[in-house]
Amino acid sequence: MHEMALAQSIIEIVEQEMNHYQLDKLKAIHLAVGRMTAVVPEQMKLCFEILTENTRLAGTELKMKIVPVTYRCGVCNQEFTSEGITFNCPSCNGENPELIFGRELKIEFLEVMD
Amino acid sequence: MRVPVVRNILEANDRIANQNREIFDRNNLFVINLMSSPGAGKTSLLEKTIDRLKDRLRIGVIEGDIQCSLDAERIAAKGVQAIQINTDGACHLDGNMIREALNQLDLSSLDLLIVENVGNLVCPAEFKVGENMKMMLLSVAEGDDKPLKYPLMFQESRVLVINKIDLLPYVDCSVEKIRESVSKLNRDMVVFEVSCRTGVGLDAWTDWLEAQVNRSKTSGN
Repeated sequence: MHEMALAQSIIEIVEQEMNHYQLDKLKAIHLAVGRMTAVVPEQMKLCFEILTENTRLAGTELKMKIVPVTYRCGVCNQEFTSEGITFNCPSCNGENPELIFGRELKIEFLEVMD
Repeated sequence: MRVPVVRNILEANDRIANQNREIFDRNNLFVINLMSSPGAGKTSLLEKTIDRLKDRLRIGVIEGDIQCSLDAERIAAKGVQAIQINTDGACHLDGNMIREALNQLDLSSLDLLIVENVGNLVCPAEFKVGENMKMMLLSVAEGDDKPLKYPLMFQESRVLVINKIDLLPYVDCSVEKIRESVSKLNRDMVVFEVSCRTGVGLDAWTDWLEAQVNRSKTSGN
């Protein structure tokens, strides 16, 4: 259940940004969540919903873009996505490709009511 | 309308963890974040480690559990400083919980602080506490598929201790397979095979650990 801690951190950051930009209400919060982070989107949404009850963030939607696990091969420079952990490049079979995407836990932007 | 933010969700924890690290460095203290599943033998390994090293290193322990203080009592019985953190449901320790616990420890009188995380193979990997080194403990009774099922934790750790090897005749677990998976996930991972029950392998582990602490002390970080 690290989703609860993450939801709490999201709320703290978003509250700061809302104060900074003098925003009263948000339509949605857009996140980028890497596949490798083991975040369960439904749980994250539920935790966010519970924590924002009766606050100005109540009803704000949490939108998550799941970032696929992406590697770059150190041998042939090929970038490739993978369902999970991968040890060899599918093109040249090179070993230990570098993980370049898939561990993101970021707030990307806030969507404001029109 | 869109308002760009682009902030790391864990930035507050990372900031506190970095501050903790500054406190540790000021006190010339080496800090380990010990992670494993529940029941792998974290507290037993700490007891055996303290028995072997307490005349050579001044050791403190922070115990993280969802409930109760049994583990801290076991460690305190060894005559070292031990603090219990109860997370009240949270599945991992974070930088802030450690910060609060530090007030109860005399850091300047320690060489090594071991933070025993909540038993969990998923969540603790994402939350730094300010440690110099993450370490994993895995017992052979859990099976040899764990590194591939929970890769993040194995990638983040500097050392893996495989415990309960006295049970190998009774369980379907190949230490070779664990070593093979781990070396693919993390080429630099140091691996020890031990049994806290019989004592086999423990000296090699504690000799290595002592060398890490001493090396860190002489290099000043």
